Amino acid sequence: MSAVAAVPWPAEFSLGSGVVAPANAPGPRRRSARVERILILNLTRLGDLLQTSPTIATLRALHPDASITLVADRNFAAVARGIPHLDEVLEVSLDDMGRQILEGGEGLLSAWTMARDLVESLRCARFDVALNLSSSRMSAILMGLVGVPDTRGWSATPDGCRVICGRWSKLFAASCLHRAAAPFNLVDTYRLIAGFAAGPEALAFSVGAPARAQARELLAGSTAPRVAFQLGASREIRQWPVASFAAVIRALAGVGIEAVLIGAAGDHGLAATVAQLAGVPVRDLTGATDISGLAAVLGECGLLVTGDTGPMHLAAAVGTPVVGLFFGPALPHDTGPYGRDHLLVHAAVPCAPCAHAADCGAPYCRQEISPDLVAALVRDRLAGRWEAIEQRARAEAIARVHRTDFDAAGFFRATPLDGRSGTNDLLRLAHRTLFSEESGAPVISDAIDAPDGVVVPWAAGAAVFARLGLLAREAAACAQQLARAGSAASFDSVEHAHAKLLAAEESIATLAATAPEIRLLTTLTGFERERLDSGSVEYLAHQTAALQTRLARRALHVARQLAGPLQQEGDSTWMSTATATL
Amino acid sequence: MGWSVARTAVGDPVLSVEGQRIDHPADPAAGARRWAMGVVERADTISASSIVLIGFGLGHQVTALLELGQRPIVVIEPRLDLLACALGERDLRTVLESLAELRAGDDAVSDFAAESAAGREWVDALPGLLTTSQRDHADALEKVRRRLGLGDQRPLRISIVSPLYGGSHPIALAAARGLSRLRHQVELLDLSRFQAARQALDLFSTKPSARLGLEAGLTQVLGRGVLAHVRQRRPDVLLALAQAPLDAEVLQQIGREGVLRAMWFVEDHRLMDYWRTVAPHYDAFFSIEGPAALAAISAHGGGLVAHLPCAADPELHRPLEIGPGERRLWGSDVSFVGAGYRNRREGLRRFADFDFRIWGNDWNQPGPLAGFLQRGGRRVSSEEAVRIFNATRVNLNLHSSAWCDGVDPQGDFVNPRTFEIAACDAFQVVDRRAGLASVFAEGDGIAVATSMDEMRELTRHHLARPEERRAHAARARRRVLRDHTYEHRMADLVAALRTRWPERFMGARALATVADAKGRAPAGLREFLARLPGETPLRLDALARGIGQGSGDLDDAEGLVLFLHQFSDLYLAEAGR
Repeated sequence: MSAVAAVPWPAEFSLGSGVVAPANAPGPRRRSARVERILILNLTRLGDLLQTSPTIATLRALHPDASITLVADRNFAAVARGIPHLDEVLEVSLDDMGRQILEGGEGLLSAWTMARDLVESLRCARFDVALNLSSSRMSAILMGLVGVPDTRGWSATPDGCRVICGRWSKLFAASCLHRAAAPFNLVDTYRLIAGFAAGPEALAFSVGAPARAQARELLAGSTAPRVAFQLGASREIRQWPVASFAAVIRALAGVGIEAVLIGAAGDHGLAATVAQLAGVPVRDLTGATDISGLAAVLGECGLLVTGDTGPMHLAAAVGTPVVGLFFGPALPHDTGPYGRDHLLVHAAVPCAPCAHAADCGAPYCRQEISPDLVAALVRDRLAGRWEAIEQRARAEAIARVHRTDFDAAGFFRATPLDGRSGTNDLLRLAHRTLFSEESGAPVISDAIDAPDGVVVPWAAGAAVFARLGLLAREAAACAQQLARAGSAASFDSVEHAHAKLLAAEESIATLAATAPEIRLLTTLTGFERERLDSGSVEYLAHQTAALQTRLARRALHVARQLAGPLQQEGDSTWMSTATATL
Repeated sequence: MGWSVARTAVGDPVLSVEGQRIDHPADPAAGARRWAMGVVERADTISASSIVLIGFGLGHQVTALLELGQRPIVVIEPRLDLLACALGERDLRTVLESLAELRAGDDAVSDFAAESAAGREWVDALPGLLTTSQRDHADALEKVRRRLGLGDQRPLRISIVSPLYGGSHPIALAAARGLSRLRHQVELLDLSRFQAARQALDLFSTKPSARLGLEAGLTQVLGRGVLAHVRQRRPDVLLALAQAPLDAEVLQQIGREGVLRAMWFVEDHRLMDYWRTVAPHYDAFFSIEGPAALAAISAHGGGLVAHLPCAADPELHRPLEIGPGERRLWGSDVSFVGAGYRNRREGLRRFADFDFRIWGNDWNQPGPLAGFLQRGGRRVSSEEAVRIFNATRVNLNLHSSAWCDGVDPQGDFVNPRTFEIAACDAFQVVDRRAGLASVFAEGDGIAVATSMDEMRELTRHHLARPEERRAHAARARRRVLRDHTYEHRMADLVAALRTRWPERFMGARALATVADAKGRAPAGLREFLARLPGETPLRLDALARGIGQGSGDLDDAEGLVLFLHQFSDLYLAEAGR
């Protein structure tokens, strides 16, 4: 097949370029040559904040003299204060604002005043660069109002339309919509948005001496090996059943392991229930510590058993191994603990992952992770018995056990230990080789390296991407034809070329409707064309041609990855299938 | 028709009205149970005798309320077609038989609203109904609530200003807890963190005159802080505790913000006379003292002046198991907790032959009592006091006086310690106070002495009779829990404000429309509101729609409205999970 020309990206890897501030922003709106003040907006929860820490560390390394400010929800300000290298944590009380809005009337006027004060204080700081790591329209409008010259992530145009700034932010946006196929873990995505392909491989959280002393005091009186259990979760759908936790605790007590129950004060009832069901002595530390104390307690434990929670990332930050239980909306590769040798069990039921806001009437995925498996993984992980872990992983039907590490390019991965590769595994890996290359990171040679070759190559998948590539190439050709017609200023030929372009794009949309595996790429292309500025037909057509050419290159890259050995051995079935309907 | 019925996986019918789900799509019974528990909880807050439900739906919610089975249920369903559908879908004979009343039809709501209230009823509507475009349901709910006099039952937004230090500081904290338990929206401005700053003023000068000037400066700064808070939060009521650093000027400015200013003066008006300068600037002035003090305060102006005695906080003031080690640390036959006022320094000498301990500060010249003073006269925290009360056999409670040598014959108000000791299930001998009879009756377990001799005699008597002591203590605790907690006091305070200013607290939406809000809105927002029709509801969705009426770039006011609109969608979705 003929080579597809790659479209060069504008250089966005160094901070100092981005969107222009809206008209209502104060002061000069030119981009600063030197980065003196950096704003990071992350109005999310404990886990997401901790996952920002490697980005902050890299920013600090590159800009040692810059002032770095993090805007965080007041409920999690203590977490933010434990993240190294920040000069300032600006707290926003979302609860207060929410309460005021709920009250209505006067409360609404107060909420408006609070929002105004927030925007004014951020404008006064005159940041040079802003990273918005909150993927919401709310944060976009806030960033648009603040108007930082170089903004990465969600922002808004002066007329209030949401705009996603920066190539990696657009990939992040597409990944949020197609998480099962997303190439990168959240930490790596944040780093890419900030402009770094490689960075420190660890989350960071500072634990002071008083917190460590408190932890030792709380854990005094026993020399048994300890395993911490985070029982609660932000939502019920993310919470493993109490009976399952109790069964694991009982099994571990039988081999002399002490259970340390952690969580907020609100989890106290949960802990009491688990302790009662377990019927063995446990150490209940729910509500006993602040965030630093919790980090210190985790540091004193041999392992943490948890769902996909904030404390999971805290454990990773203090170097405590995790046995993570992933079900409901959670995916190991997406938000797994950033570090090596954590074990993540994922209930790979057909409906996984559900949407973050899903309200499931029968969350049976939680039952698919058995207490026996978890207890065995804890014992084997504590003893470092990796062969036994792999054997158990291979014996499981639905629960898949993953081990975490980093690939050759330095990106996080969660590799299934069961020797099987599902289509999503392959798709994700193929996407990762593609975007890893685009990031400028070293090419990953082992990207598609599924053991046992169960489904590699994935001929059907390769065929669909090949079709997408050819359709996109066709669309690019139509767009080029339109550009030529535009320059000739012949209305009829413009109309004709435009109709052909629309038909080609319609074919891509139809393919995406029936083939969900290509949607990450088509959605990304959709986000990329959002920023096409208006102009002449010729200009727009050129831009469209460039976008479609890029989509074609990406699609064919993925197709080749999925075809693997078939392509090299000259078996052209996949390509014939792909082109049959063109 | 506007409504539709779907089925769950097991075939249960579930209702949507105008696209809004009324029932849980997968498990309507479980969803209704969760909702019903919330309704019962809300009904509990007003001790409702019955529940009135607007909307019957498919009967899932009514069934759940009946299963909780605590109160008679009255259901009003304006739509006969919906009711017919429900009866066709489910066998509801038992449900209908169990209802106290079912009214249906177009006029059901207005008929019900026109009748006089039969008792204390809680009115609620089916989940989801009030968020649909069926605003008639919302109006019906409001109408019925007003008929029941429940328009003023909305929680108040109250900000409490504490002093920097002193005995009224823990009362500020307790008042905040009490108001929160009553489900008001409370924000405590705990100014005790500025006490270190006040003490640090010594760095500049220790001369009394200079020091006074510096403290006045600090008071001004703190007052401006409170004013900034008021402007941002816009509470219904600003409640200041005695010694709160609010001067007349700040109080006037707060008044201009339209916020009701209340003071709880928990001190002796004869000893502390700063009230003379500030009382005229409070809308409501509550005092722990009796008629003489209330008359004096009224004479200095001010609006509402009322008696509001001290109280106890059962969460803090509680019985404790005291082990032998703790008893050695905190316990004695007889103890006294409090500052070293003149009458105490003199009167308590009479207890020198007992196993006696004195706890508290400001005992500068303890004289012969020096040997009884614990920990060198350091201040005793609230939690430590609770341990002392619990570990002591007879707690002496001698009210302070600067002009007599023992029991003050003119003693009027009852101090907090009286309630706190009682709440701890501990025994006390207290000096006679004019106000005592209004809070503890004969037989309520408080031993009252009219002189130091009698106090000594009562102490000796009860030390020898542990059973009698225990019985007295139990009765006193019962009385406090029944009538004298901070929750009771705050309920009385709020009721007094509501009675005096009913129009200020009426209805959940005092500012219901853009026209209502124009005069109250901050600059910027005001100009935006001026561009909208006056009848536009003061809701974010309506305001956000108003933005579309302009064109081109957004100004700041519009951008902020858009931001809040997006935020509220996210926040409410999160809160609803």
